[in-house]
Amino acid sequence: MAKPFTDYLVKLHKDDAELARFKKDPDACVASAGLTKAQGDALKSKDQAHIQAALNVEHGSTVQFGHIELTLKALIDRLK
Amino acid sequence: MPGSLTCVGVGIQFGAHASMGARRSIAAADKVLHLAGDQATAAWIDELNPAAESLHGLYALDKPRIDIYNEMVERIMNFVRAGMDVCVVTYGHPGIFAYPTHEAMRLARGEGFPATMLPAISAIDCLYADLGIDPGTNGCQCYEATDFLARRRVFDPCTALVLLQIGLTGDFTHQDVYALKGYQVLLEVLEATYGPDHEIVIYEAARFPVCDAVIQRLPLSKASRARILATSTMFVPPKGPAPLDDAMLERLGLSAESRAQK
Repeated sequence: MAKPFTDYLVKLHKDDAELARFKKDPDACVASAGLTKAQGDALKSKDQAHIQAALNVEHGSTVQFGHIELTLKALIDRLK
Repeated sequence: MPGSLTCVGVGIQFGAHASMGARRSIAAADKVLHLAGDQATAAWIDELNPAAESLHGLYALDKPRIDIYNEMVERIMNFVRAGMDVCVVTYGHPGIFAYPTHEAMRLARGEGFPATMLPAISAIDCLYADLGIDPGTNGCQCYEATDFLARRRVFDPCTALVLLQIGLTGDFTHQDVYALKGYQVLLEVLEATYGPDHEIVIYEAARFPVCDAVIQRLPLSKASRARILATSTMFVPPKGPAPLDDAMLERLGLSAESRAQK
Protein backbone atom coordinates (compact mmCIF):
# COMPACT_ATOMS: atom_id res chain seq x y z
CA MET A 1 0.00 0.00 0.00
CA ALA A 2 1.38 3.39 -1.04
CA LYS A 3 2.53 5.62 1.76
CA PRO A 4 3.33 8.95 0.09
CA PHE A 5 3.85 10.88 3.32
CA THR A 6 6.32 8.34 4.70
CA ASP A 7 8.06 8.07 1.33
CA TYR A 8 8.38 11.84 1.08
CA LEU A 9 9.81 12.12 4.58
CA VAL A 10 12.40 9.47 3.70
CA LYS A 11 13.26 11.51 0.61
CA LEU A 12 13.69 14.67 2.69
CA HIS A 13 16.07 12.81 4.99
CA LYS A 14 18.13 11.45 2.10
CA ASP A 15 18.04 14.20 -0.50
CA ASP A 16 19.53 17.57 0.43
CA ALA A 17 18.40 19.11 -2.85
CA GLU A 18 14.79 18.12 -2.19
CA LEU A 19 15.04 19.49 1.35
CA ALA A 20 16.31 22.79 -0.05
CA ARG A 21 13.43 22.82 -2.59
CA PHE A 22 10.94 22.18 0.22
CA LYS A 23 12.31 25.03 2.29
CA LYS A 24 12.08 27.35 -0.72
CA ASP A 25 8.65 26.30 -2.00
CA PRO A 26 6.84 23.89 0.33
CA ASP A 27 3.50 24.11 -1.48
CA ALA A 28 4.98 23.01 -4.80
CA CYS A 29 6.83 20.13 -3.15
CA VAL A 30 3.75 18.98 -1.25
CA ALA A 31 1.74 18.99 -4.49
CA SER A 32 4.35 17.11 -6.52
CA ALA A 33 4.72 14.51 -3.76
CA GLY A 34 1.00 13.78 -3.95
CA LEU A 35 0.33 14.55 -0.31
CA THR A 36 -3.12 15.27 1.11
CA LYS A 37 -3.88 18.70 2.53
CA ALA A 38 -3.61 17.35 6.09
CA GLN A 39 -0.23 15.77 5.32
CA GLY A 40 1.01 18.92 3.64
CA ASP A 41 -0.16 21.03 6.57
CA ALA A 42 1.65 18.71 8.97
CA LEU A 43 4.88 19.04 7.05
CA LYS A 44 4.59 22.80 6.62
CA SER A 45 3.83 23.25 10.33
CA LYS A 46 7.38 22.00 11.09
CA ASP A 47 5.85 20.73 14.33
CA GLN A 48 7.25 17.33 15.29
CA ALA A 49 4.08 16.17 17.03
CA HIS A 50 2.00 17.17 14.02
CA ILE A 51 4.31 15.31 11.63
CA GLN A 52 4.39 12.23 13.86
CA ALA A 53 0.59 12.27 14.06
CA ALA A 54 0.35 12.40 10.24
CA LEU A 55 2.71 9.42 10.04
CA ASN A 56 0.56 7.51 12.50
CA VAL A 57 -2.59 8.28 10.53
CA GLU A 58 -0.97 7.06 7.31
CA HIS A 59 0.09 3.85 9.05
CA GLY A 60 -3.29 3.44 10.74
CA SER A 61 -1.68 3.26 14.11
CA THR A 62 -1.84 5.08 17.38
CA VAL A 63 0.73 2.74 18.86
CA GLN A 64 3.72 4.45 20.39
CA PHE A 65 6.46 4.57 17.84
CA GLY A 66 9.74 5.45 19.39
CA HIS A 67 9.25 8.46 21.58
CA ILE A 68 5.68 9.57 21.21
CA GLU A 69 4.45 13.08 21.87
CA LEU A 70 2.27 13.41 24.92
CA THR A 71 -0.17 15.47 22.89
CA LEU A 72 -0.39 12.92 20.12
CA LYS A 73 -3.93 11.74 20.70
CA ALA A 74 -5.32 15.23 20.36
CA LEU A 75 -3.36 15.82 17.17
CA ILE A 76 -4.49 12.55 15.64
CA ASP A 77 -8.07 13.49 16.36
CA ARG A 78 -7.47 16.81 14.62
CA LEU A 79 -6.06 15.14 11.52
CA LYS A 80 -8.84 12.56 11.12
CA MET B 1 26.48 -21.26 11.40
CA PRO B 2 28.27 -19.12 13.96
CA GLY B 3 25.85 -16.23 14.59
CA SER B 4 26.82 -12.70 15.62
CA LEU B 5 25.34 -9.50 16.97
CA THR B 6 25.98 -5.92 15.88
CA CYS B 7 24.16 -3.04 17.58
CA VAL B 8 23.98 0.25 15.72
CA GLY B 9 22.15 3.55 16.11
CA VAL B 10 20.90 5.80 13.33
CA GLY B 11 20.93 9.00 15.35
CA ILE B 12 17.93 11.26 15.73
CA GLN B 13 17.69 11.99 11.98
CA PHE B 14 18.97 9.04 9.96
CA GLY B 15 19.75 11.08 6.85
CA ALA B 16 22.12 13.39 8.68
CA HIS B 17 23.29 11.15 11.53
CA ALA B 18 23.56 7.50 10.46
CA SER B 19 27.22 6.54 9.98
CA MET B 20 28.61 4.59 7.04
CA GLY B 21 29.40 1.80 9.47
CA ALA B 22 25.80 1.63 10.64
CA ARG B 23 24.49 1.61 7.06
CA ARG B 24 26.89 -1.17 6.07
CA SER B 25 25.97 -3.24 9.13
CA ILE B 26 22.26 -2.93 8.40
CA ALA B 27 22.69 -3.83 4.73
CA ALA B 28 24.93 -6.83 5.40
CA ALA B 29 22.95 -8.51 8.21
CA ASP B 30 21.01 -11.75 7.82
CA LYS B 31 18.40 -10.31 10.15
CA VAL B 32 17.69 -6.73 11.21
CA LEU B 33 15.64 -5.99 14.31
CA HIS B 34 14.88 -2.34 14.91
CA LEU B 35 13.48 0.20 17.29
CA ALA B 36 13.15 3.05 14.82
CA GLY B 37 12.10 6.44 16.13
CA ASP B 38 9.31 6.77 13.57
CA GLN B 39 7.80 5.04 10.54
CA ALA B 40 9.92 6.96 8.01
CA THR B 41 13.09 5.69 9.67
CA ALA B 42 11.61 2.18 9.65
CA ALA B 43 10.87 2.50 5.94
CA TRP B 44 14.47 3.55 5.27
CA ILE B 45 15.80 0.56 7.24
CA ASP B 46 13.49 -1.70 5.20
CA GLU B 47 15.00 -0.20 2.02
CA LEU B 48 18.50 -1.06 3.21
CA ASN B 49 17.59 -4.59 4.24
CA PRO B 50 14.30 -6.31 3.39
CA ALA B 51 14.90 -8.75 6.26
CA ALA B 52 14.20 -5.96 8.74
CA GLU B 53 11.60 -6.39 11.43
CA SER B 54 10.36 -3.96 14.07
CA LEU B 55 10.52 -4.75 17.76
CA HIS B 56 7.79 -2.21 18.50
CA GLY B 57 5.15 -4.94 18.42
CA LEU B 58 6.40 -6.09 21.82
CA TYR B 59 5.25 -2.87 23.50
CA ALA B 60 1.98 -3.21 25.42
CA LEU B 61 0.10 -0.64 27.44
CA ASP B 62 0.48 -0.74 31.24
CA LYS B 63 3.17 -3.41 30.94
CA PRO B 64 6.36 -2.83 32.97
CA ARG B 65 8.98 -1.57 30.53
CA ILE B 66 11.57 -3.99 31.91
CA ASP B 67 9.40 -6.96 30.87
CA ILE B 68 9.08 -5.52 27.36
CA TYR B 69 12.82 -4.99 27.13
CA ASN B 70 13.57 -8.55 28.28
CA GLU B 71 11.23 -9.90 25.59
CA MET B 72 13.20 -7.85 23.05
CA VAL B 73 16.44 -9.39 24.30
CA GLU B 74 15.01 -12.87 23.93
CA ARG B 75 13.82 -12.10 20.39
CA ILE B 76 17.27 -10.81 19.45
CA MET B 77 19.07 -13.77 20.99
CA ASN B 78 16.79 -16.32 19.31
CA PHE B 79 18.10 -15.17 15.90
CA VAL B 80 21.72 -15.02 17.09
CA ARG B 81 21.46 -18.53 18.55
CA ALA B 82 20.00 -19.71 15.24
CA GLY B 83 23.32 -18.78 13.64
CA MET B 84 22.30 -15.52 11.97
CA ASP B 85 24.34 -12.33 11.74
CA VAL B 86 21.91 -10.02 13.51
CA CYS B 87 21.93 -6.24 13.41
CA VAL B 88 19.89 -4.41 16.04
CA VAL B 89 19.09 -0.84 15.10
CA THR B 90 17.95 1.80 17.57
CA TYR B 91 17.25 5.50 17.26
CA GLY B 92 19.94 7.67 18.80
CA HIS B 93 22.95 5.82 20.21
CA PRO B 94 22.51 2.06 20.64
CA GLY B 95 24.13 2.14 24.06
CA ILE B 96 22.53 5.21 25.62
CA PHE B 97 19.28 4.53 27.48
CA ALA B 98 19.12 1.20 25.69
CA TYR B 99 18.90 -1.70 28.12
CA PRO B 100 17.94 -4.32 25.48
CA THR B 101 21.07 -3.76 23.40
CA HIS B 102 23.44 -3.86 26.38
CA GLU B 103 21.76 -6.97 27.76
CA ALA B 104 21.78 -8.71 24.37
CA MET B 105 25.49 -7.84 23.98
CA ARG B 106 26.21 -9.28 27.42
CA LEU B 107 24.32 -12.51 26.72
CA ALA B 108 25.80 -12.92 23.24
CA ARG B 109 29.35 -12.52 24.48
CA GLY B 110 28.65 -14.81 27.43
CA GLU B 111 27.48 -17.51 25.02
CA GLY B 112 30.53 -17.09 22.78
CA PHE B 113 29.03 -15.09 19.93
CA PRO B 114 30.91 -12.11 18.45
CA ALA B 115 29.11 -8.93 19.52
CA THR B 116 29.91 -5.34 18.54
CA MET B 117 28.31 -1.99 19.28
CA LEU B 118 28.92 0.98 17.00
CA PRO B 119 28.71 4.47 18.52
CA ALA B 120 26.13 6.91 17.16
CA ILE B 121 24.60 10.34 17.70
CA SER B 122 22.34 10.59 20.73
CA ALA B 123 19.90 13.28 21.86
CA ILE B 124 22.58 14.47 24.29
CA ASP B 125 24.99 15.07 21.40
CA CYS B 126 22.28 17.10 19.66
CA LEU B 127 21.71 19.06 22.89
CA TYR B 128 25.39 20.00 23.11
CA ALA B 129 25.30 21.24 19.52
CA ASP B 130 21.97 23.08 19.68
CA LEU B 131 22.49 24.75 23.05
CA GLY B 132 26.18 25.48 22.50
CA ILE B 133 27.25 23.52 25.57
CA ASP B 134 30.79 22.28 26.01
CA PRO B 135 30.91 19.68 28.81
CA GLY B 136 34.61 20.42 29.08
CA THR B 137 33.91 23.88 30.50
CA ASN B 138 31.96 23.08 33.67
CA GLY B 139 31.61 19.32 33.46
CA CYS B 140 28.29 17.57 32.97
CA GLN B 141 26.15 15.28 35.11
CA CYS B 142 23.59 13.10 33.38
CA TYR B 143 20.75 11.11 34.95
CA GLU B 144 17.51 9.46 34.03
CA ALA B 145 14.91 11.63 35.79
CA THR B 146 13.20 8.92 37.85
CA ASP B 147 16.54 7.46 38.90
CA PHE B 148 17.74 10.96 39.86
CA LEU B 149 14.82 11.34 42.29
CA ALA B 150 14.41 7.78 43.53
CA ARG B 151 18.05 7.42 44.51
CA ARG B 152 18.39 11.01 45.69
CA ARG B 153 21.47 11.36 43.53
CA VAL B 154 24.06 13.69 44.99
CA PHE B 155 24.73 16.35 42.37
CA ASP B 156 26.95 19.39 42.09
CA PRO B 157 25.02 22.61 41.31
CA CYS B 158 28.22 24.13 39.91
CA THR B 159 28.24 21.46 37.18
CA ALA B 160 25.78 21.29 34.28
CA LEU B 161 22.96 18.80 34.85
CA VAL B 162 21.14 16.87 32.12
CA LEU B 163 17.97 14.98 33.07
CA LEU B 164 16.57 12.56 30.51
CA GLN B 165 13.07 11.14 30.17
CA ILE B 166 11.52 13.90 32.28
CA GLY B 167 8.16 13.18 30.65
CA LEU B 168 8.24 9.66 32.12
CA THR B 169 9.28 10.71 35.63
CA GLY B 170 7.89 8.31 38.22
CA ASP B 171 6.45 5.80 35.74
CA PHE B 172 8.04 2.40 35.05
CA THR B 173 5.22 1.18 32.80
CA HIS B 174 4.68 1.73 29.08
CA GLN B 175 1.94 4.22 28.23
CA ASP B 176 0.83 5.96 25.06
CA VAL B 177 0.25 9.11 27.10
CA TYR B 178 2.22 9.75 30.27
CA ALA B 179 0.56 11.62 33.14
CA LEU B 180 3.62 13.66 34.15
CA LYS B 181 2.95 12.60 37.72
CA GLY B 182 6.56 12.93 38.85
CA TYR B 183 7.48 16.10 36.96
CA GLN B 184 6.27 18.48 39.67
CA VAL B 185 8.28 16.58 42.27
CA LEU B 186 11.34 16.96 40.08
CA LEU B 187 10.82 20.71 39.85
CA GLU B 188 10.45 21.00 43.63
CA VAL B 189 13.68 19.09 44.23
CA LEU B 190 15.58 21.26 41.75
CA GLU B 191 14.11 24.50 43.07
CA ALA B 192 15.31 23.64 46.58
CA THR B 193 18.90 23.69 45.28
CA TYR B 194 18.88 26.22 42.47
CA GLY B 195 16.15 28.62 43.59
CA PRO B 196 13.01 29.65 41.68
CA ASP B 197 14.71 32.13 39.33
CA HIS B 198 17.31 29.75 37.93
CA GLU B 199 16.72 29.41 34.19
CA ILE B 200 16.53 25.90 32.78
CA VAL B 201 16.04 24.56 29.26
CA ILE B 202 13.46 22.01 28.16
CA TYR B 203 14.95 20.56 25.00
CA GLU B 204 13.79 18.32 22.22
CA ALA B 205 16.11 17.37 19.36
CA ALA B 206 14.85 17.83 15.80
CA ARG B 207 13.65 14.44 14.56
CA PHE B 208 12.60 15.45 11.07
CA PRO B 209 14.71 17.38 8.56
CA VAL B 210 12.11 20.15 8.15
CA CYS B 211 12.02 20.84 11.90
CA ASP B 212 14.20 22.81 14.26
CA ALA B 213 15.08 21.68 17.76
CA VAL B 214 12.49 22.77 20.33
CA ILE B 215 14.17 24.89 22.99
CA GLN B 216 12.10 26.30 25.88
CA ARG B 217 14.00 28.51 28.32
CA LEU B 218 12.21 29.37 31.54
CA PRO B 219 12.85 29.83 35.25
CA LEU B 220 12.28 26.83 37.49
CA SER B 221 9.31 28.57 39.11
CA LYS B 222 7.52 28.55 35.73
CA ALA B 223 8.80 25.24 34.41
CA SER B 224 5.50 23.52 35.23
CA ARG B 225 3.99 25.49 32.31
CA ALA B 226 6.44 24.04 29.79
CA ARG B 227 5.27 21.68 27.09
CA ILE B 228 6.75 18.36 28.17
CA LEU B 229 7.01 15.44 25.78
CA ALA B 230 8.23 11.90 26.24
CA THR B 231 11.28 12.97 24.23
CA SER B 232 11.97 16.08 26.32
CA THR B 233 15.28 16.50 28.09
CA MET B 234 15.95 19.05 30.82
CA PHE B 235 19.20 20.98 30.86
CA VAL B 236 20.05 22.76 34.10
CA PRO B 237 22.99 25.17 33.69
CA PRO B 238 25.44 25.48 36.58
CA LYS B 239 24.65 28.07 39.25
CA GLY B 240 28.13 29.46 38.82
CA PRO B 241 31.75 28.35 38.55
CA ALA B 242 33.02 25.86 41.07
CA PRO B 243 35.56 27.41 43.47
CA LEU B 244 39.22 26.56 42.93
CA ASP B 245 40.98 24.54 45.59
CA ASP B 246 44.20 26.40 46.42
CA ALA B 247 45.77 23.42 48.18
CA MET B 248 45.20 21.21 45.15
CA LEU B 249 46.58 23.88 42.82
CA GLU B 250 49.71 23.93 44.95
CA ARG B 251 50.01 20.13 44.79
CA LEU B 252 49.66 20.28 41.01
CA GLY B 253 52.29 22.98 40.77
CA LEU B 254 49.99 25.32 38.92
CA SER B 255 51.04 28.94 38.72
CA ALA B 256 49.18 32.08 39.71
CA GLU B 257 48.71 32.79 35.98
CA SER B 258 47.05 29.46 35.37
CA ARG B 259 44.80 30.11 38.36
CA ALA B 260 43.80 33.41 36.83
CA GLN B 261 43.04 31.72 33.52
CA LYS B 262 40.65 29.39 35.30
